[in-house]
Parts: sequence; C-alpha cells; structure tokens
Amino acid sequence: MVQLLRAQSRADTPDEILAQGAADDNHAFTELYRRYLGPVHRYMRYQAPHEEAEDLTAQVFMQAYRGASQFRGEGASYRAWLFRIAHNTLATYRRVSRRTPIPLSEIPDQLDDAPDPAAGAADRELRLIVRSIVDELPAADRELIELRYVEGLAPQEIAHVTGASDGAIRVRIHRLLKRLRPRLVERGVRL
Amino acid sequence: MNDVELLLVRALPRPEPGPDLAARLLDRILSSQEDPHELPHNRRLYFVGGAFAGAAALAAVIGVRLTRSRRSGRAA
Repeated sequence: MVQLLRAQSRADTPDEILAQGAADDNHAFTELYRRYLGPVHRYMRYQAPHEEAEDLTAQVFMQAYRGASQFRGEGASYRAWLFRIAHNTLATYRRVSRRTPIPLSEIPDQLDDAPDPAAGAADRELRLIVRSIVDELPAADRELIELRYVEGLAPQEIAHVTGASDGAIRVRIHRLLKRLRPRLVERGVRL
Repeated sequence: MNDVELLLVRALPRPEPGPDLAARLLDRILSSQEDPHELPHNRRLYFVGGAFAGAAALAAVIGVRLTRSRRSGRAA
C-alpha cells in the first residue's frame, strides 16, 4: 500500500523534481523513463533507421541516467534537456553512419496495432500525402516538424535542443510552413 | 495553430514502443549502471577506436623516449 502511494505520488511529481532525485533513486528515473520512452524512441524512428532506433534510445537514457545530477533545470525543461541528449546522440551517430531513416509513410501509428479501421480511406490518403511531403524535407526540417508537431515542444524548448536561438527557430518554423503550403495544394490537399 | 499546422498534427505517425521493448531497454539501461562496460554496440566501436588511438599515442611517446635515451647515451 505504501509502495502504491509512493508510485501514485511519483506519477504526479513534475519532471524536474524527479530529475533531481533520479541520480540516486531508480524509481524516480524509471518514472521519467516511462514518461519519455515513447517520445525519445519516436524521435529516433523519425531520424534513424528502424533497427538502430532501439540502440540509440538506450544510449540516450543511459546518458540521462549517468548525467542526472547535472540537470539543473535552469531555463530548460527536463524534456528539452533529454531531447538535447537525443539530438547530440543522433549527431554522433550520423558522423559514423550515412544510413537514412525509413519513410514516414512506412511508420505505423501504433507499432503493435493493425491500422485503425475507423480511419476513412480519404483520411488515410491525406496522411500519406502529408507524410510523403515531410519525407522529402532535409533531416533538420524533419526534426523540427517532429519536435514541434508530434512531440509538442515549444519553440524555446526546440532552441535548447538544437542550440539555435528562440527567434531563429520561430523563423525556421514560419518559413517551413510557408514552403509546405503550396506543396500540399499541388498534391490536391484543400487548405 | 493555422491549417497547415493542424494538418501536420493530425497526419504524422505517433508510433509507441510495445511493452517488450520498454522492458528490454529498461533492463539494459539499469544494468549498464551496475556494469559501466555495458555499452551499446556503436559506442563499443568508439571505445575500440579510442583504445587504438591511445595505443598509437603511447607507442609514439615510447619511441621519442627511446630516441632521446639513445642520443643521450651517445653524448655520454
């Protein structure tokens, strides 16, 4: 019962508080892992070949565990700090590998589930168009789109992840959306 | 959010790792803390690369010392 209450209180604890205890407390780290395994693994699947995503994800969490005492939370959220580790891990990986990620159109929405039967054919078609257009973008733009529109990071968090300024990220997002609009219209998407 | 942003949010895939993967990775991460030599395979490559670089540097230092000691031996 006491353990259940502890687990419950951990589930309600903000990331930053858990992160401060994660260096000495496996349970605090495990709660952070539970929260961020999906986002970090997804980030790797968007950016690296599928069979490498697991290994890269493991590297990110090993570093986060070892470096937990270095997290200060000054001006950056825990998830921005964690994604910065992921960004740097990926940069190191790219220096030694030229392999490209699989197209987004081949990534299922749920790894273990069959395609959603409720999604209509038109909706599926629309998703495929959007994914194929995003596939054609350079890796840095794909990363920006994934962090902003899949993981929901704020521009200042993306700035922390990539090492760019907040203003530069806002400008890049604005320009990217401007470039995507005519491509979507060209492919028959009504906006 | 404008219409393009809403479309991106709606259309991009959100794969979730299955429970087997989650358990396997957590075991690996926690056991790596107990055994710091447990590294993912491409980090092992960097490790091996670093060991080679270290051995080469050591050989160079030994070479310099041997040369110096030979020279000082000749001078004596």
